[in-house]
Amino acid sequence: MAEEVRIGVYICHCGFNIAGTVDVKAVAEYAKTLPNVVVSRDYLFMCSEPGQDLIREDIKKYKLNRIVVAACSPSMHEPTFRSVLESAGLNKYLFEMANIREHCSWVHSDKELATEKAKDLVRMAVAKARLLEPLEEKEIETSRNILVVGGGVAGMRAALELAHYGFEVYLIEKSPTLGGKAALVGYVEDDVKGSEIVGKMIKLISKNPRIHVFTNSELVEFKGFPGNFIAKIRVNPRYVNEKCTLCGDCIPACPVEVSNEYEFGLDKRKAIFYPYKGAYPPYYVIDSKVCTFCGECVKTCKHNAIDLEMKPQYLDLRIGALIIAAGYDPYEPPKGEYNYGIHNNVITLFQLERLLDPNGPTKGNLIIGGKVPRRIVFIQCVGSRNTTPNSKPYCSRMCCLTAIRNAIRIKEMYPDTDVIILYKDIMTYASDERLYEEAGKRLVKFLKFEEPPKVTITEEGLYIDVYEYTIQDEVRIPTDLVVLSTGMVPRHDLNELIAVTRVSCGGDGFLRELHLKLAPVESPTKGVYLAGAVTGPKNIMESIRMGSAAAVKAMTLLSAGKVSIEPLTAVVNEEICSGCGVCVSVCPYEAISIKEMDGDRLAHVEEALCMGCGTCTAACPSGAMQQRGFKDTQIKAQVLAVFGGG
Amino acid sequence: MVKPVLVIGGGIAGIQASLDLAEQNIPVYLVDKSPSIGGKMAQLDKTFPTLDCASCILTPKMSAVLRNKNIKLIMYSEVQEVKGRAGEFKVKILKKPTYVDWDKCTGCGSCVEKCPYKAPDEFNLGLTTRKAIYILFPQAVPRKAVIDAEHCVRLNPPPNLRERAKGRPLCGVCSMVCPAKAIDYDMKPEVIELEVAAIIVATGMELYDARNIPEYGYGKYDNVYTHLEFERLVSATGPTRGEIIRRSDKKHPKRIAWIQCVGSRDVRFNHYCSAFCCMAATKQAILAKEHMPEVDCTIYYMDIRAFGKGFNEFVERAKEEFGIKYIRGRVVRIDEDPDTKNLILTYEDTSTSYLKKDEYDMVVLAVAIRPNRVVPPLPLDLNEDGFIKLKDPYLDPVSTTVEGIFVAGVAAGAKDIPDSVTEASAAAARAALIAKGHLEEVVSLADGGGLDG
Ligand SMILES: Cc1cc2nc3c(=O)[nH]c(=O)nc-3n(C[C@H](O)[C@H](O)[C@H](O)COP(=O)(O)OP(=O)(O)OC[C@H]3O[C@@H](n4cnc5c(N)ncnc54)[C@H](O)[C@@H]3O)c2cc1C
Repeated sequence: MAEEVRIGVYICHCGFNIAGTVDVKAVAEYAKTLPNVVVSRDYLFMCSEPGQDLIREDIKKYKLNRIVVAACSPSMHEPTFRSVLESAGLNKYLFEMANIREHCSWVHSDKELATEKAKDLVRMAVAKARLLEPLEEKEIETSRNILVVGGGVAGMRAALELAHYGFEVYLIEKSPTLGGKAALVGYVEDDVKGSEIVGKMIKLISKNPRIHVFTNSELVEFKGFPGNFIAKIRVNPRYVNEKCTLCGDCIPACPVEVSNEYEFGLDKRKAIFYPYKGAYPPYYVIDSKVCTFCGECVKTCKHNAIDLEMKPQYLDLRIGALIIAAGYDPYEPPKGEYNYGIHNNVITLFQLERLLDPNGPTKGNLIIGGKVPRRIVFIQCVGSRNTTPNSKPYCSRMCCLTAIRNAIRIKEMYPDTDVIILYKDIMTYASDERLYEEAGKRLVKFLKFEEPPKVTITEEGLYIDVYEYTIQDEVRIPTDLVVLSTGMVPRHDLNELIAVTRVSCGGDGFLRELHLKLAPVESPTKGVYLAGAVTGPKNIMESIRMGSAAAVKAMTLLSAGKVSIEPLTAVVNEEICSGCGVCVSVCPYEAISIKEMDGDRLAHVEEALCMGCGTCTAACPSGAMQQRGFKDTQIKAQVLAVFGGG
Repeated sequence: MVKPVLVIGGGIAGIQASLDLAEQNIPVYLVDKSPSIGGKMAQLDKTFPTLDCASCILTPKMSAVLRNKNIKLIMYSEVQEVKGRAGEFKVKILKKPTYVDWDKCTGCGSCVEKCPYKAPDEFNLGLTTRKAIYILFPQAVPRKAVIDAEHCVRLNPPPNLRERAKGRPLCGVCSMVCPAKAIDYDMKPEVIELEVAAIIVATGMELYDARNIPEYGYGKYDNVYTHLEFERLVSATGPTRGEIIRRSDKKHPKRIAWIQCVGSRDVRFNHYCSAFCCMAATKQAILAKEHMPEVDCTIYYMDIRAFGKGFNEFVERAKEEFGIKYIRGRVVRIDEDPDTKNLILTYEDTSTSYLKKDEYDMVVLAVAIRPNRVVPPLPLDLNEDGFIKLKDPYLDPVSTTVEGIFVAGVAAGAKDIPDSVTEASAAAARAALIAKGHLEEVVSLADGGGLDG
């Protein structure tokens, strides 16, 4: 004899979020009339501690064995309420949630109708709750390996943090060197160079036996479940091995010359090259996209370090967690935007960084056409804040400060050079405001625009025309150099990573967090964490913090050595299953296989791999495939509850 | 062996740091000077740029803290002294008397209901009153009562009453009605001594006193509010249950102005930018519109600092979808019309360079924030803006100048919730290493000296 079903129903006001549109008292009263409902209440915030206590006390007092909460989306608070059941000694899967916020109060305005709909939703939830069954979670051992994708400051920081903690870390980087964009920043502060910060981190990484670095490498396959992912890495050939001494003899021999991406096109490099001083690992590399494999370099190399026969290698790793720190691309203005790409004296902020770096192509001297520019004009928001038709809608966060910092530096180096910054809003937030103040003291001039300025090329040189907002007049500024403060955009190849890892991106094209505010380094997939500018524009400091933050999430997941698996998975009714295999073909997680059992062909679900998406249950022609927590009978009860007959 | 970590301050930063540590089985002491955790975020209505309600996302975190067996809450307490060094700090904490035995108190609220004495309600920033015995707010964690000794007649009898009582104790109602017998008028301050491996400072912010800025008449004109007061005013749990009404006549305002950078970005007061106020004003104007579609909202600003994820899109939405006006210009002064209590703003509209005047029913000041004072007792260095100084902002952006002491949230500089949460997790990563005995590794990233003593 099954035990009597005793249901408690709780209607949340969510402040005004629900109570503003739904008559919560009426819904609570209504719920009392439903079969098996023993108690029904409403409360200001069900998720708060007193709200949770209400449920806990009722479970004891009324011997409740099913709980229904009508509140927000289960993606918000299902875990909260499940743990309430657990703490009251009830199996946490005896819980059902009716979403009367996102599905009701937030999308309706007519109070009466919204209240009726809320009642319907509650009735459906109660109908399903009646049929819920207790489910048990399984515990599975986890791997202590962690994969970090992206060798910029965020990824390097995460790797260091985790290696210190005792995990084995695989740090893979797509380009031939660790360091990312921060290595290419001239000065991040008066006396701190981007390459120094990166250099220090690289030194720590190279000395750490628990960090395994793979450059020229990509993640090509990723599957499994939190704590036990399987990752396939492709290590692309470098064509140069560890015998390389960086002597440089191969350079004159190489006949191929292309634009140098590490100097943002300010100079050229060969097909065989060393990215920049301090690049890691410290070996030359051949760019297979442009190399003709003529073999000239091989002939000149005295160290036998070049091997044109190298093939891609594949690495299969079992990993516990993945940290994605793949960074961003600098916005590249289309040819002609502000005359970029047409006139040599229109450059980007990134190019300016290279020009001011003592290791850069001009050894840190700002020489344009053989002269120190008499005037430099920065144009802000290039590619950002909907300024031009090609722009992104967001602010790129770091460009104002970067422009101002460089402006101050230029003023220090060349006091006679006039520096003007054309801006929409200056974004020197928090204590960075001090630098804005400093720039003013150093007579850097700031002009505000709303409509994008125009850069004109004349025989005498460059002019900028701008409608200045505060004087409300057209201003024409002759200038020797125009610096476009270009922002940050999602990596051009981010989609490949999205396809492999199944993380998702938001409307701005950057990766989406689990929760924008409270889970900024977690992805919606448990065990996959995000760090740095891959989720949107960040500065170096912020990216490094995210690296540490993502690391702590991985520590938390894996420090216990085991994880529990949600039991809301598909199960096969072996009596009915005919082994047709439809489920195998539709499963997106490769969790189902066909097994021979006593001569019968039967579907078999690998529970740890099943994500509970339900695709197989819908596809199964015989109804043999059922999903725990969403069985046909349970769903049918819900449908009947709303359309009658139930 | 795993050693405990001390987290000072239970705002969203302290909460996140505590959870990140406790979930990997590291014992945490979480100290807060207030009777509830939650910090400023608990006082907010909704949060930019997604407008999800602060309570909905914060309260589950607060109850997760309460439920986690690895976290010990030390409430209504402040750190008095820190000695020792990373791996072995010795800390003295002063626990103020709550006059309620929290082991017995169930948070039922009977005492609050019956208490005959009133005091300004600090959670609602004095916009309303609470009782002398009180629970900080309905969702407080832990949900326990506290007697405010200053306003309790029993504990602090006014001289005239004391004379009349002739030595007999006064009042005592709360003690009589408490079903749990939890009231203890003789409770004394208590000193708690702890040994911890690492410390995370997440002491957050207070608002700059807007009375220091005479030209805006805060404290003098009824209908001038701070932005935090406005949060309470729109909140369903606030003093008006979410009705936006004027202090002077309890009427709905028809025109509201927000003034940005009040005490921030102003060399007279604070040089720094408070980082979140532009977005908070945008959010509040949208909320005002949602509550009262007819209301006219104008934001006076210097630069709109919409630098975070989704922020610029949020401002565009405010302009296009909600018709919120942005005027770039400094408000020079506010005058009050003595009859209507309306406010007349004099400002320079920088798009025309003309000095203009405009009348509003309500004005909200985006008052600067300031770090809560923690030095001393903590032996930390501060930066020129008074926030806790970082040892090396690039190589170790959550470490203070004392090894083993980390900082997260607004205590290290003005920032919003996502950045506070990220920093908190980053600080937890560092502290976890020391708690688990990997001190040398922490030092390798940021070498520094310990403390004497
Ligand atoms: C009006 C307004 C609106 C805002 N709106 C938003 C928004 O919509 N979205 C957003 O992202 N951000 C918003 N913010 C910013 C947000 O509130 C902060 O970023 C966040 O709350 C900071 O959290 P914290 O933990 O660092 O500090 P706090 O919240 O200030 O917490 C500090 C805690 O430490 C305790 N404490 C202080 N000193 C001591 C001590 N010596 N010993 C023990 N305990 C101590 C305090 O009691 C408090 O509990 C807003 C801020 C304001 C003022």
